[in-house]
Amino acid sequence: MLDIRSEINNRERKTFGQWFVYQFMNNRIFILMIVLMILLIFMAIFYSKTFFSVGNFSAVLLNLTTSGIMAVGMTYLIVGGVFDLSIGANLALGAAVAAYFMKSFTNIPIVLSVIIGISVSVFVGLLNGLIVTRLNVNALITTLGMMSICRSLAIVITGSGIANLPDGFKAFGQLVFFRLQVPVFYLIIITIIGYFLLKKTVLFRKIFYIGSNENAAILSGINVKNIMLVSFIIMGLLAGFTGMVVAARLNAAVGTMMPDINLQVITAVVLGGGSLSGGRGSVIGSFVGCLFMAIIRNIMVITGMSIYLQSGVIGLLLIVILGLDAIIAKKYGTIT
Amino acid sequence: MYDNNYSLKRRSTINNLLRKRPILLGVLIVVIAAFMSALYPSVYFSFNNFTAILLSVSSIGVLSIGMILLIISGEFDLSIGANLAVGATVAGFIMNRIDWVPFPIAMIAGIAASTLAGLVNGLIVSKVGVNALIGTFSMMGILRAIATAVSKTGFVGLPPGFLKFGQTVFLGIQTPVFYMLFLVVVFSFLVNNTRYFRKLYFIGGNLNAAKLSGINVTKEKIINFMIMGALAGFTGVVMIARLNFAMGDLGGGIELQVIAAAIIGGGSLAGGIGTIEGAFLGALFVAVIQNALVIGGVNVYIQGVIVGLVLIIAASFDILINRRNSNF
Repeated sequence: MLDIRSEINNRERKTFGQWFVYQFMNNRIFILMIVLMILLIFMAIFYSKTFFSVGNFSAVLLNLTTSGIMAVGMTYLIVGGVFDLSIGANLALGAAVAAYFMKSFTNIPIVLSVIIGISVSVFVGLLNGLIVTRLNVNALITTLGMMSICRSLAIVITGSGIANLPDGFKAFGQLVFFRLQVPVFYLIIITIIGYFLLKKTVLFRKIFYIGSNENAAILSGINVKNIMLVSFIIMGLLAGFTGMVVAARLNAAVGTMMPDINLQVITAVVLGGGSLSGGRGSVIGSFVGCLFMAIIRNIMVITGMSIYLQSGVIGLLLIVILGLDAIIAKKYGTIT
Repeated sequence: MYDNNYSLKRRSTINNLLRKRPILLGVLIVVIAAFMSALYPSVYFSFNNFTAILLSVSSIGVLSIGMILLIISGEFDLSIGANLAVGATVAGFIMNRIDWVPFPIAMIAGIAASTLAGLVNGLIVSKVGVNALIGTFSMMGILRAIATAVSKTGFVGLPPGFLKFGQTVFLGIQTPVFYMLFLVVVFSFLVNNTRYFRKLYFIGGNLNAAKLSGINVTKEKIINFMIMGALAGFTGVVMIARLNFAMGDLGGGIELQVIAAAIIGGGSLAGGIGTIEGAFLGALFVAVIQNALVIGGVNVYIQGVIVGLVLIIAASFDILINRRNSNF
């Protein structure tokens, strides 16, 4: 009796079911794209005017760029077996600090305020990394605590919100090139760089080994602590950058902004093929995951679902996809 | 522990006692209370204030019982806030719309709904094998949607008999405090003294060894999730008895506070470590700190910074202490 593993090794997919299972396990992007195509066809039939409009695409793109930039950093962390719940609070803090400097010290250049803001976020990332790698505290606890700290500081700094940021800063997020807003270009560049670093450089490829088997990685001479520290720092940097982009687009910095983006980004990375136990994941997959989530949310908003129903749908979707993943993995063993 | 001649030194009794997290927390609570009583004698050191502290911890205290059971066995549950809203709105719906049903039945129905949600959580996380973080996070979204759908704009005007369940004052203390203390004492006894709950430490300590010893790990974890669900439902029902108002967004954000309480109380997310009394004292510790900050007039939002710091310090405490005492 041939089992599916040998069949696939022989490159024979006897039935559609076997081929589907293989694609589902190994090509998550494929599945997501198929579902997306179905959804797009659905929207073209029923909501074509609303959905396929410039304004709507801008809204989707804003959501996409915010989560997409940070998803690159989160991919590195999840592949390494950890994650970061503090990214929303971190970006709010970075934006708060930058906005505070911009409005209180009007004689210093805006660029300096932005650099100070991003540096604060990088520092938070550094702290996260140090606590997880040196003090061996679980990533969930560390980033949970840091999230509370950053969010509280951001609210204290911004009070009821810092609005009317200088015009020069607005340009950072609102310039238009080739009819596309600037953040899209940031997203594309960061995603491409992130993809190449993770896939093609020796240093970051090691993260896959760290995530698969940390002890084996240590014994192979991989400097696990420092590589994961660098990953947390990168995450902080991207969170700070995203904070600047969001503040530039909203022309304001509010302490409570982006409260749930941490779980949104983790969800996108997991949808795109990342495994929370580490060792699996891809930057392109995370990007497609973000695209998927942004479009699904947009569709739900257009069809008039309440916020809570939206979370319910996304929750159901996740359970179905991950549940199928787990059941198939148990039945056939993970195919690599 | 070892001196240079490799003979075993005995630590002092106080050193040994303070290494137990519940005792350390108890001592810290007393120290903070003494400090605050000296600074603010009339406001702080009063029966009203102490009962207020206990009342503020009553929801999180009950929930942390269920959470520490899960954490000991190596899992956790992010859906408890939404779950308590489900229990609360189901009970509220029956009491409000189906008023010929006596309210105790409505309460049981609410708790049963939450327990059912806990069962689903358990099936998803332990039977199917989805990661606890994503699995319970997804259930949180689904349960929140259900709670909002059931409650729509919310229920007010719950039966007066039901309100007595949460608003009676007995010996000067509100009833939810008694429920919390009762549950903490009962579960603490059960976990420390029964074979049934001792199995959880084995599951959390070494999953494979537990399976090979014949423990039905899947079943135990599912039961833990159901206990968590039942406690969440109970907390939701008590909450609406106090508020006289049931709405779909009750309990938002409470899950992270509960996990923090369990960790501060000595639990470890790696599994196998933690106690019920520790989790309760962890929750009480945070409540005492928050109360002290409010009475001291500190900016409300600085509380978030302090609680975050306490959480991180508590989680890294063992390593920080061991580094000082060990040879490496």
